[in-house]
Amino acid sequence: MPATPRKRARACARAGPRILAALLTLLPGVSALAYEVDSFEARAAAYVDDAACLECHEEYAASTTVHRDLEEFETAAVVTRGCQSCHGPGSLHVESNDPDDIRNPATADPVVANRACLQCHRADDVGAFEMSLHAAADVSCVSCHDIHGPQRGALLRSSQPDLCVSCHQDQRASMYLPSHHPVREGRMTCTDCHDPHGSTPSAASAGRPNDLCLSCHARHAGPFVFEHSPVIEDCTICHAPHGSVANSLLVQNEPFLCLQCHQAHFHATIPGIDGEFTSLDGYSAVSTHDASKRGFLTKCTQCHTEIHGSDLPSQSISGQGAALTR
Amino acid sequence: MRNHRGVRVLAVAAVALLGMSHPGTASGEDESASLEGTVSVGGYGASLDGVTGRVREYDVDREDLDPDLKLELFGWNDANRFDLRTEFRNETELDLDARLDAGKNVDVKFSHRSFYHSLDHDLLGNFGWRERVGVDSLGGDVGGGKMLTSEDTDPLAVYGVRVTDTKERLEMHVPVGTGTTFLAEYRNLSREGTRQVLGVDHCANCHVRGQTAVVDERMQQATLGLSTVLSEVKVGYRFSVRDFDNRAEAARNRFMQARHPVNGASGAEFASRLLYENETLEVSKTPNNLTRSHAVEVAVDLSGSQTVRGSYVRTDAENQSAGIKMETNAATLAWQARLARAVRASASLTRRELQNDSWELDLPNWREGRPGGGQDFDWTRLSAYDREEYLGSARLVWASRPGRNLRLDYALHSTDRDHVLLDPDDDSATRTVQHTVRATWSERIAKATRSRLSAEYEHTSLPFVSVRGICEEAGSDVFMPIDGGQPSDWIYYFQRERIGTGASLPTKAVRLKGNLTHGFGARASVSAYANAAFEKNDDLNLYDFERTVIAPGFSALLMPSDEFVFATGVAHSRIKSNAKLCVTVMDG
Amino acid sequence: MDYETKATSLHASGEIVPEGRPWRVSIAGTLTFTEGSFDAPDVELPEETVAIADYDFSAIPEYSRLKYRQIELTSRVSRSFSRDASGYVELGWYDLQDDSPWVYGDETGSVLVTRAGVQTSF
Repeated sequence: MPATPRKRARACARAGPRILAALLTLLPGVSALAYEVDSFEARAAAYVDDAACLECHEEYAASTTVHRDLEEFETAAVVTRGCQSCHGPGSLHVESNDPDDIRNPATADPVVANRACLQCHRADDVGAFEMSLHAAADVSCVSCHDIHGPQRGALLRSSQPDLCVSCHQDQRASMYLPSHHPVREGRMTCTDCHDPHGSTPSAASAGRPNDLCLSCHARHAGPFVFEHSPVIEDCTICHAPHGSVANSLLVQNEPFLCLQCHQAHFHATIPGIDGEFTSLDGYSAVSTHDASKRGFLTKCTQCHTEIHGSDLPSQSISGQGAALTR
Repeated sequence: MRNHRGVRVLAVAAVALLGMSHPGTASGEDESASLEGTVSVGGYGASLDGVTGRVREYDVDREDLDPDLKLELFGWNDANRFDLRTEFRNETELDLDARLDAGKNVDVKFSHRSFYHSLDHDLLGNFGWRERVGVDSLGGDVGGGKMLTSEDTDPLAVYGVRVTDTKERLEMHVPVGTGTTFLAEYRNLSREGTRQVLGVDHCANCHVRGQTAVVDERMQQATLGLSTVLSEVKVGYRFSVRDFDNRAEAARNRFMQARHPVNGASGAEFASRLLYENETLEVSKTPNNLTRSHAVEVAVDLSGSQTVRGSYVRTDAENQSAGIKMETNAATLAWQARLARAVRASASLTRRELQNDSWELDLPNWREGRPGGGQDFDWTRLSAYDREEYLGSARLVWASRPGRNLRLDYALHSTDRDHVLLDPDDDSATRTVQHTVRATWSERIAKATRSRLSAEYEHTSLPFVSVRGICEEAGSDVFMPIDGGQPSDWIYYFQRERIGTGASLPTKAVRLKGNLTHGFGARASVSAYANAAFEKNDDLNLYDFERTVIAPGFSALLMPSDEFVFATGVAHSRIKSNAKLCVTVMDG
Repeated sequence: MDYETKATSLHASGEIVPEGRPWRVSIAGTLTFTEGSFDAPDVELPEETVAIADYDFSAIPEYSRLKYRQIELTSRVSRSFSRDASGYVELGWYDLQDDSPWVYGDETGSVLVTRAGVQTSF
């Protein structure tokens, strides 16, 4: 019977990786591709009743972990063997009591450790973890999650941000910059913005640009009549989300940040009188020789207040209403 | 009439489903039910000195005694789990997290977080200028007509908002087959308080006025989703609606009567250059907006080690105050596979297209009826959103032996903007193409030593820049002197054409990261890292933009005994970048 | 003109849990120095300038220069009265020194926070 197009496609899909792997193994030194990542896998062992495990590991008998208590419909992989769902068949270990006779994700190579988790967590958002930056850095699931712990939170070994900054030391320092998101204050968490399991683009990430930021800062979503194009392009052109010295998470303080793309008003070149004056509208102030520079080159957004965009026109006709001052 | 209907419907649906998750729907009475918890009762007090809005930007600190209450509860039986944590300090600061895993097929999460965020109060102390036009016979300054003044109408105000973020999430596993899940999410994020609003008058009466404005914003977001696993195929759909509602009255600013900047006289000459004067108008008004999103995702597990995923997202965003609508369509195809026991690969390609409404601006003629006036400044705002993007990625991860990982990444980001020019000499230059390659090597170089190195090179042709944003060209076309004579006598009405391109993004970037961790047995470890970036844009016409980042750090952990743990560290960063300062001769 | 941001953060923490004793002590501190400023700029001028104008911009970096020193010190002492009951005292000192005030004025300030209470588990 001839293969259907669908079957042929499946066969190709299955053969493709094998061909690529075969080609890779032709490269010098790549024979290590096939290193034995899980020495336990090759051994012949049978599944036993969980009670046999708990006879010795009695500390887990009272554990409220969800991982000991799964129904078939809760997992795509139909893993319902209790302890042995992750640790593999335990008969050899039960007989010998030898730790080498059972898989231990806590001490195993991360590739092996993660595979135990991903056999179930492959149909949800965690499914792409093997391709993530964390996986590539040999961070395994159990590096952050306490699998035997009670089902509280996400089984994290410690709370955020402490867990994250224990490795990401540079971000720990960023949280202590004068302007920062309220992460160290506990008002938000690292995972409000970051997906520690992520890698390939998700459906959500394909929405409009800057949607991650706009999911909280929705007042800047517009779309506005008068736009400021870098706001549309990328929030991080002007803002450093982990923290900054300048106010409002700006990568540099005004006016320098603005002067990278714009020039200074000519008013800043006009010297001032030294002394007090009163305007025709009755407002008094003190002027100095460099007063116009101080006025026009201290903080651009004192006048260009609506820097993220506005529907209201600015005052000057020659500026076409687009100066974002209103 | 504001359109909350979508949000309301979704909220009602979510609440109805939350009701279904009552523990009573689970396994009922169970003798093995257990409850444990912690109650903490205390007091909280603070002593304040100086300005505290910066040092404690996100906290309420006052010299009263507040309660300091915490409660943690954890209950479970064979079929249900309930987890509650709450912390209360005052009417502004309340945290509550709750989770109910009921009957093994309903998972409900609820969180409520409220806190205070101090906002800035600009003292406007840098304003105060009257132009000097010469020196009198006694050597004193002679003042001209241009002036700059300011006014803080509420100088003692302390600005801040109470931020309240409430999230509900219901995940319901349908106990049929192996993975049908219903998802309902609802979020309500509000900001209430006061802020400072600044309004500015132009020209001779250039005046910046600060005033207090009410902040009353609410963002509601609701999501409904359904996903199911059919053999090796997972299919999912999500609908999401986000509604931002600004409920505060807009602040209003009194725009004064226009005055001539040379002689200070009011009258038609300067009024003819302005869109409005001598009236009170709304300022700093945040429009309402609504975003709806449909996402369809299909993932196919081809062989147990290979997955292909496709998704399509359509997003409609609307500025409900102005009626501007924007549409985004995005499609993604992604593949990932385990090619061999230790080799994994992935690739993805996303195409995204944005189309935003253009906006016709019908403005009065400039200096209408005045000598040399009558110029038409009408224009059509074509949106910088309009674009077509391609985002591609490829990744190969090779765990060549236990403790060693090599990762190779390639990323492509192509953005073709419809109306944003990126090269002043080429009117068709609207496409940015960015290629990024990165190699990351992670190695356990000794039993207790882990190292990681990452090197990235990024090349961008035509990055986003400010074309003709800086620096004027002498004698260029729109340089429009009035009255002739010598240049120093001219009065300039229009801003002259700018010729320089300003930038804060590079065309070439090398970014390096490295860290090393060593453990001294189980009692001590040290870790060091260094990040560096060298970025340059040498395609600019007037200067080269450069940015350098150097950020090293060190930390140590010491546990001399089971009774004592000590940790320390230092982190340093130095970021340097440049710009070219240009000043206009006249910019209106 | 060049803008430079510098930040240095030092932190240290320790925890003592004496064996067989009912109390534990923890202390943590972070000291952070930050600075951001640009140098005196050379201005790009067009050929025709206005005679009355002053194109000396050497002073403008001072208008927006930022310099802060922050200290955060926290400590907690807790004592168990029984297997299920304990008490605690927490002190936190948060201090910011604004060495180069900007448009918001001198934002130097400090807060001393005290918490104390009892806790029971069941």
